[in-house]
Amino acid sequence: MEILKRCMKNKKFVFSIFVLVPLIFIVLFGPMLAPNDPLAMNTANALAHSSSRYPFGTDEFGRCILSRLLVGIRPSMTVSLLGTAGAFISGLILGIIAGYVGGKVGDVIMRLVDVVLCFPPILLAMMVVCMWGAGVRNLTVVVAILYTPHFTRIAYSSTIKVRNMEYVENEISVGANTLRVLSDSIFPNILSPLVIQISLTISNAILLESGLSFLGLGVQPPDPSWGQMIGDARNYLSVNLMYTVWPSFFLSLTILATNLMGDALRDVLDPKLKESF
Amino acid sequence: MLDVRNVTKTFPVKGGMFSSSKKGVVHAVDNVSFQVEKGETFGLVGESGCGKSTLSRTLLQLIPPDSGEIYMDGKNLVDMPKKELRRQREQMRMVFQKPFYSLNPRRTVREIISAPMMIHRHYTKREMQAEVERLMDLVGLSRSYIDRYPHEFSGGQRQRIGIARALCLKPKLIICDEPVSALDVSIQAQILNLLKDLQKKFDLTYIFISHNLSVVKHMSDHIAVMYLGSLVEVAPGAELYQKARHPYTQALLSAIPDPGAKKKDRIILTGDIPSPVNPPKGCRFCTRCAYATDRCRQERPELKEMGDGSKVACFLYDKGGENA
Amino acid sequence: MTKFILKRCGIAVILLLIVSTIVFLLVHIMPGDPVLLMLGTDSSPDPKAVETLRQELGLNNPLVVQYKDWMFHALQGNLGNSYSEKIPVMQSISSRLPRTLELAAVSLVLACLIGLPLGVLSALRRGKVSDLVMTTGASLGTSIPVYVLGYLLIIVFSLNVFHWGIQPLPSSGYVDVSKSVAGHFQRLLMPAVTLALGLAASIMRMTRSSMLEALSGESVRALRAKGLPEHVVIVRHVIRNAFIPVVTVIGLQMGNLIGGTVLCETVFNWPGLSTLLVKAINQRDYPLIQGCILIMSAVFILTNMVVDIIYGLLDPRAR
Repeated sequence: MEILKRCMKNKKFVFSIFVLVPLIFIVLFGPMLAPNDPLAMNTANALAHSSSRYPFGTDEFGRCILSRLLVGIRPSMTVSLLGTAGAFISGLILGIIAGYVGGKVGDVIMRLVDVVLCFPPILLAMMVVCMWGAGVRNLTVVVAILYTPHFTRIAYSSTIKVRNMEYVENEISVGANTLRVLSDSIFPNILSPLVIQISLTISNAILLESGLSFLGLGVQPPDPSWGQMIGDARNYLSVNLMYTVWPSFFLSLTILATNLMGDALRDVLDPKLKESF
Repeated sequence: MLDVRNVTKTFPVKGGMFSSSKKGVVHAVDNVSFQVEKGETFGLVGESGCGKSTLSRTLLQLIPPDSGEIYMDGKNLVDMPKKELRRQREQMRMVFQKPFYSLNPRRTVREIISAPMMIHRHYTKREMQAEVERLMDLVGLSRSYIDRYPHEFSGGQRQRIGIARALCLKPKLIICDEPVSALDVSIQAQILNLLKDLQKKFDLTYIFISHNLSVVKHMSDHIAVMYLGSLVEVAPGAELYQKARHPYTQALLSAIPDPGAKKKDRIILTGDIPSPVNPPKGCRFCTRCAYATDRCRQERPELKEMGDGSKVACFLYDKGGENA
Repeated sequence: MTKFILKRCGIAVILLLIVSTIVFLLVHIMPGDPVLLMLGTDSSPDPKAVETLRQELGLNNPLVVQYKDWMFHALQGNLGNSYSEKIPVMQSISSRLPRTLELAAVSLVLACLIGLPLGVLSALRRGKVSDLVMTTGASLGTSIPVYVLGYLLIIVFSLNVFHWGIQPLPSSGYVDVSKSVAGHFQRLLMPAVTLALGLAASIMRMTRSSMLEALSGESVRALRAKGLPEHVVIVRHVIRNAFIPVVTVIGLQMGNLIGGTVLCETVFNWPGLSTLLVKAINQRDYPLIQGCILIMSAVFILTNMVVDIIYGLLDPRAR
């Protein structure tokens, strides 16, 4: 499609694809690629530097850092991808309803959205964690709830803009029912800003999950998570520097790639919107 | 064919969160009545904000009027049950002003034109393809464009797509809401001629709305002049331009630029445009009319027959024709 | 104008009410018995002690009554007693809140000092190498997590990894201003810079894009045609118009700033409100948790209100 061609020409897009595709590969096949068992402890060999057996060295329990890295990406990805998907779907539905139907229903929905936005994301996540415990499932739900307002707002303002367009009026005047108007005229035309928001939300969600794990409130040990590893590593900065550096590097790279993807999508999709007017 | 009676549409003016002022009401369309014959072009003229677009929306029932009746071939469209209205909607279509906003940017030409077919009846793919091609030929678009997107076309071409879409399912009445206002002058002529040809071919009835008097003159058989929500004059086309009666119509006509003519007296309207929320008690035009009398300021004039096929709403012409 | 400000204050009050209700409810709908937790779960508690404590805490009253009491006390500044520290919650919070606010405020100022000029510069030098360097830096700044950045700074400046000639900066702890001004600011420097860099990156990007938009606008062309010298055009007109969306972005980043303090304080052992909250969560100290979240959300709502009002002052269309 035309859009894909344009994406390929965009440098940021190519770079992020370069990073994200291997990443997805690791998410899917990580455990199989790991040279050692990520949970296997060997305290005699704690905080060792890199060797042939442990390419990235070991942590304070003697576990292989590389293996833990390869496996540790899964919870982050699960939480962010699934959570974002949930936020997207609920935000889309709420936003379209609020924008198309309007009136009191619309007002109520947007006020609810404002209330959720009152909480700084980490605070809300911490609240939920301390009430219902940590773990991938709870974190996914938190992410979905936290980022629904962003999608709702975008869907709402786009729907209002599109709703007043003459081609929507024409559809109604010809006799289309509401479902057809929504799916055929409104939905395709509000998609672009939502897609851009998806990549931004994914990177925010990764930041959130890793931040929580760093504080010890996210993925619980012994399961590894990149943020958690950084948190554990901080006591050993002077002993084994790379224990901190490796997960930090990969985490930053992942977030950078998703952010660039969001920028690239914005470059590609936004001018097209202007063009079609 | 179309009989509009006493249609009124008002919009409430919201007073804002903390304001204690009385909520006003905008009389967008105020007690409008007119008739349109089959096969003719009925022109509707007026300045921006006079309510022509709202009126056209009420005709299509996009905005249900507050009161009044709209008879299409004898059937009242107002409060018609949904199923019947749906069927009736195949007969009435609209061509819109802004070619850029009237086509769905995410759909191909094929999908745009065939949309009415998909909504109403079940056609086979082959039938739809044939019909779309036929319509494209009719409006002068090359068939090769069928899978392109609106942003790949010029304004005039997009308007042709809009016309092709309006012709789908063979309607009887097409409301043209400022169809050429957003186009270059050279393209305007092409589109207007296209509309005229199609009218002859298919015996279409048009309601042609515009603020541009010379365009309306070119197209219409009857013309209605609208001011602040009500009709002030209705006359056959030629009559209106030679024998305009209402002071507002006269002012409008004098404002048409005519490079050939000698410097003529322009009627320049003085006074303020009354607010649509608080219109004057009497004639809507009295604040700007050179001939306003006390009666004008107190009473609203009704549209009255003048005997030669025209109607005027002005007290100047009461009691047997006192020509201004 | 006053109407606008009043409206914003009104909204803030309503939001505060809603937030405090949610915070109150949260503790009461979570699993587990707070009384048992207070008495310690290792010993099997004496039923009489449990009952007395329950009466004391008013946990036997209907929920509505508890809510009324809680609100009543909260408005007077009494947020209950901390389970773990046995002192009033308000006391713990009030000793820590100023430190977090100080960190946030200094970071915000630093971020503006760094981000705004860089954003203007990169817009003016669009397409040149310097612009590319700055925008890449901004991308990195928004992508690197706060704690990673913190450790990076610690590695470079505290651990003497590169053996600079200078004295390594202390990476943790807190010294009160009254005891040593130099010591205090020495320890404030790294956490503030860490937070500031991330925020500066967002500010820089937004400033750059809104500057570019303003520069290509028609009003600028008209001003140039009038014959005004270029630097006057830029300073007086372009920058003023470009700042409005920047204010919006700063407002939007407030949430991230507060979240950032949570992480930053942990990295640098800066004893602020956020570390208190984390400790409280780990110890299941519910009154303390409630208090911290309430105060932090209140700060968030208030700062948003201030940003909205400033935005309204700058852009008459928003009123």
